[in-house]
Amino acid sequence: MKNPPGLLALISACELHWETIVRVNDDDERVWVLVDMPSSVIDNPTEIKNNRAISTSPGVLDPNRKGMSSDPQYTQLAEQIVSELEDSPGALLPVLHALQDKLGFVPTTVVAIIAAGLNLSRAEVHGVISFYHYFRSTPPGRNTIQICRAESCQAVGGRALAAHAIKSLQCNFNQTSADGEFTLAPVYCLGNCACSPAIRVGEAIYGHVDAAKFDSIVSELLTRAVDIK
Amino acid sequence: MPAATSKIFIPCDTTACSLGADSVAAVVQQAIVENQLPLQLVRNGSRGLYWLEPMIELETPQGRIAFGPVTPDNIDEFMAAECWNCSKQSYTSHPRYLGFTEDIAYLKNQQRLTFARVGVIDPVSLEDYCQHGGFAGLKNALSLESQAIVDIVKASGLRGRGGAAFPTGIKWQTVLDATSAQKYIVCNADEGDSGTYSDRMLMESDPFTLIEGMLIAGLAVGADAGYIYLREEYPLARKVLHRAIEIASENSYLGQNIAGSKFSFTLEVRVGAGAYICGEETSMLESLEGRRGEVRPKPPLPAIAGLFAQPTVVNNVISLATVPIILTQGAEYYENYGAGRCRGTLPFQLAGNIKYTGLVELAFGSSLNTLLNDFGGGTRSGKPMRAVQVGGPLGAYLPESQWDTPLDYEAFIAIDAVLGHGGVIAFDDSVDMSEQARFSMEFCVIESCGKCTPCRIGSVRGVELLDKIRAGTELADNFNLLEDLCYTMENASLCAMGGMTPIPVRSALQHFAEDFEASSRQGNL
Repeated sequence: MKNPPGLLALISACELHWETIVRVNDDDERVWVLVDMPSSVIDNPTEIKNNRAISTSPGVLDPNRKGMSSDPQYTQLAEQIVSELEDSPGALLPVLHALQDKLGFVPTTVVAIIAAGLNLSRAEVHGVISFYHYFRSTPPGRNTIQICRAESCQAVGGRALAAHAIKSLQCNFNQTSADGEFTLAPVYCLGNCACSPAIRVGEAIYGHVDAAKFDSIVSELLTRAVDIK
Repeated sequence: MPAATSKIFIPCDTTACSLGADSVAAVVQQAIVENQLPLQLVRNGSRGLYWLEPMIELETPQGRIAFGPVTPDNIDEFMAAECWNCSKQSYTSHPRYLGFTEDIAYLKNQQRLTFARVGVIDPVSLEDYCQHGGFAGLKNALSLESQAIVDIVKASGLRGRGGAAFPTGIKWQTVLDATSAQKYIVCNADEGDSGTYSDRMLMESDPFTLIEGMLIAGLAVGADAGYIYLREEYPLARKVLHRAIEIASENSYLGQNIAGSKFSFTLEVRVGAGAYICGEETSMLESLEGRRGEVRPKPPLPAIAGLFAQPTVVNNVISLATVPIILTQGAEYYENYGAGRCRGTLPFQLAGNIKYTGLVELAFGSSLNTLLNDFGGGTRSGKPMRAVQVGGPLGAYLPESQWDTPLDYEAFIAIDAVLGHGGVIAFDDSVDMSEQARFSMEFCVIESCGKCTPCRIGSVRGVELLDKIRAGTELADNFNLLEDLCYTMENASLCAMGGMTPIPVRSALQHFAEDFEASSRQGNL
């Protein structure tokens, strides 16, 4: 699994519950937030390079991430979407969907814009974003892989598939792999129960997924990413 | 090119595509173009014989013949042997040849009423839909008074197919009787139960039926606006519904003056966001109004004060999609199917560890054994079948001794189980039922809306208790506590989420007690 290239400096480290969160920056001045790190890396940041389990995407947890809070694109997009949908009754979910469809997440910085546009409090908007499993406030990896964890898939190896995915992507559920390629998300039923276990990547749903099929889907996604680059 | 062009059908539903139907279709299309074959590729919905998917069909003068499961390699064989040339009949020797589709026993032994067109037609062809009897129910409804429509639905005996089984006609009567300038029809398409996919299939394979059902509901209660609340996990259904609504609007089946009448109706798809609880009707209404999907206390019933506090019909996809055939064929026709107080048919969905998984629409009154063995053919793994969960994550786990229970709402309630939305998930003998019981509680932790304490906190305590039991800690005390907790959740929760979570837990404890002992003995966590 890849680590931040050319690690320059450890910015800060803190322990939060069972996780150790470490912030480092790389050659390109990007901030990487690494969670689940052993506390020894605080003393010796180079250890990060040798560490197996890293789960994050660049700068996800960093509130001071450059460009994020003042990104005019997000603001402009949010204003545009709100003005298009504000007359629709109960517009909040459609607004959040439109934003997440475009950006992959709903930046916390646009909450106030949505609230003002729809005549809601910021607390109400935040409350809705945090209620629904689907909405996220941080950018996902380039591919989000949803693995069904419900009964039908459990009956034919869904638990083993989930364990395999965690191991092979080296990230847990609701985390992103170190290279930013994959976010692993649980899902409770894709309606593909006749061909369990099922997973979903974007709009594509796959059936009869075992470890081998999972690996081939992942490798195809990585190949595709290289092609695009 | 010869004049006689025959059709070749390749399904485009989620499950067929999840097994590679799109690549099969691409190979077929390429062969048609390259060789200028007298074939027209049609992307139909799925027949629901999912173990045969991707299943392709060829139209012959004698009827449609099927091949499946088909890979792109099988298409090369198909083309090489000119199987598409009906006069040569070389198709009979194709390795995936299945004979006439309608003669496949799995399909032939069903009573397809709601699913009559599913898999037969191109889902977004209005022409196909009308040729196969579409909008006949609407046409009849347009000639009737509201009360007459409600009376027909009442007489048909149709009950809510979402799982609650409340008589649809009575719900409609309440909305019809309510006085309000604005009423709504809301279709609950938040099919979150694991093991169920009939809503998805219907929306992907025959979306106009749902639209027609909603129009008839609008006529019946005096509503001119409808919403389909669709779960986010169904991206293909969303596309198909959007396209179908577009086509219906262009052809005066939605909007002003529907089919030349004075009736107007607008329809919008709203997409959920991954919350199981939004399948609960009041939670869904909150979500539609743009709020957290927290359950509302009842009363008031949604039929009196529902969406935006107006009288609202909230019906499941299958309930609404069954209305057109009732209005076409009459209440008596539909009511003649079924048993006891359960009239008509229910589309059962075979899932999990079953060999022949698929959609089986049957009249009520058949038995679970028929589904599991006659249709399902036992387990996919080949190991003995041990437990069957019917009715989604809030349904009971049934041991073999209960598989002769008639498929009927009341018979299932009598054994502390539920028929629900008709999902049937089989497990083989490798299942650890204490793990399944723990998952039932865990699922409630994950999906509880948090509004009421028994559900929000009870489920957390339930997981802790089951962990202790599985570790063999103070068993007698913890079993008592768990029973006490189940009693509280069942009786004090605001909705079925907390209220029914004890059902799978208790059934596992009652029928598979050895799994709780075994894991205790081994300290098997």
